[in-house]
Amino acid sequence: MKINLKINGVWKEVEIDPSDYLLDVLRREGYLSVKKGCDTGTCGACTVLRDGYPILSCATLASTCDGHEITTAEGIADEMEDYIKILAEEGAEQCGFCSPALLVMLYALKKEIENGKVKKTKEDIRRYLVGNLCRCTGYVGQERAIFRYLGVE
Amino acid sequence: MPLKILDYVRPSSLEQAYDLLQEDGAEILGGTTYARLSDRTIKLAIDLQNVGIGAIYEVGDYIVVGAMATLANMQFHDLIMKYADGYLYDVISYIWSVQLRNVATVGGTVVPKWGFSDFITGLLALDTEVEFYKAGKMKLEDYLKGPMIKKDIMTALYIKKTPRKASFKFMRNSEYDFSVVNVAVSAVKDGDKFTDWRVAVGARPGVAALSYKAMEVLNSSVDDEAIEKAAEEMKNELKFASDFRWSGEYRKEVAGALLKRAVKEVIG
Ligand SMILES: Cc1cc2nc3c(=O)[nH]c(=O)nc-3n(C[C@H](O)[C@H](O)[C@H](O)COP(=O)(O)OP(=O)(O)OC[C@H]3O[C@@H](n4cnc5c(N)ncnc54)[C@H](O)[C@@H]3O)c2cc1C
Ligand code: FES
Ligand code: FES
Repeated sequence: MKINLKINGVWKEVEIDPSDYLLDVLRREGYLSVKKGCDTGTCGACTVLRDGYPILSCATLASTCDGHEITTAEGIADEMEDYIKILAEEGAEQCGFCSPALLVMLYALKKEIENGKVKKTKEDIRRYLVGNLCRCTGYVGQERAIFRYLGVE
Repeated sequence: MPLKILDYVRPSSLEQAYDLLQEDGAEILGGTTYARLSDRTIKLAIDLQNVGIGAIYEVGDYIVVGAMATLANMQFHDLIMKYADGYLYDVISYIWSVQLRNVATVGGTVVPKWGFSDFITGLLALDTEVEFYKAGKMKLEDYLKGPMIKKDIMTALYIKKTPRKASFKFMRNSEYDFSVVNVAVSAVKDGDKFTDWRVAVGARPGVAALSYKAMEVLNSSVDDEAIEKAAEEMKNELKFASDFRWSGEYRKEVAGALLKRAVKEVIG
């Protein structure tokens, strides 16, 4: 079947199987920032935005996204340049597998803080990001970078 | 083998969706966060995103939550954040991640009656009704006790806005694992008295059930002795069983402790 996705601002017609998940379709289309970690909805490495909200692309059927807007880390990298710099400065990345999804989540988190839906406290930020697992860093460097980027003391 | 889908359809009305569902091998899609973990073939997957059952609004004394609302839609809705001091906001926040809650739907979380569910236990402590397209409206406790409703579409939850105070407690092997037992308790605050207690216990590991005996005890008194008695009555009334996570005995003891803590939190 054919579906239309607006990926990072550009409409694309994509041929899919009804059993395909968004994760596999995006990777097939070249959006390689979207990672397959657990493929069970747990690790968050496959996070993308659908209509502005972070979702698990491994758990979302591509067919259900027909007509929707999808944003991957590739689409927000320029806007998030400051954070990417801080990430490097704080040594907050090792293998980097989890980083694109964290970037997407942080982008969404910033919007939620601006909308007043999430409080700008360390505890609330940790709770928002609980679904982004990292096998390398132990989270300390990531937290340092995120709190610095968001201006949380 | 992952979930296999042979055909996909996005009907534009409930009537159309219901007719399609009657076909052999047809199934409703929620957010597919759980369905995808199963190994089976769906001949016709029916996506309800265009049938108009995703809204959250008030009707009379009820908050109505459409079955296609996501858990996140519900969690952050003003009506939910305000009702019972944001009790349901809190319950939903324990269901793994923001990304999961932005996909998982209310229908997909209620219909399968999973034993481990935090959401169902949380709802059962309130005056909640479930509505299906053909089977109509029923109390959540009746739905949970009854047989699975097959080939029908859940359309909404109705949560009565009774002025309740509520508390949700759980134990997990790690903070964001599934609950190995969970307890939700609520009562109507009437001046300085608490009436109409509801006590729900889930992940026993069976699906949540009300403890009518504990409710009866609490309706007559909430002094320390009565709270102890309510916990004992609940432990005798409800069945607890063992699984790979915990033994039934341990579950039962922990459920008693959680019940006492929850009641004390409600009465303040
Ligand atoms: C990693 C992970 C962690 C989790 N942690 C927790 C947790 O801590 N606590 C907890 O309680 N839960 C937890 N869950 C379970 C989670 O709550 C469920 O996966 C989710 O709520 C299912 O919703 P869904 O919309 O994706 O359902 P689906 O998987 O799409 O659907 C489930 C079933 O419901 C049926 N269905 C869906 N909508 C309707 C409808 N309107 N009418 C009739 N039938 C319908 C479908 O046909 C299907 O059979 C977790 C799940 C995952 C993957
Ligand atoms: S790959 Fe999607 S949550 Fe792990
Ligand atoms: S840096 Fe390796 S998984 Fe996070």
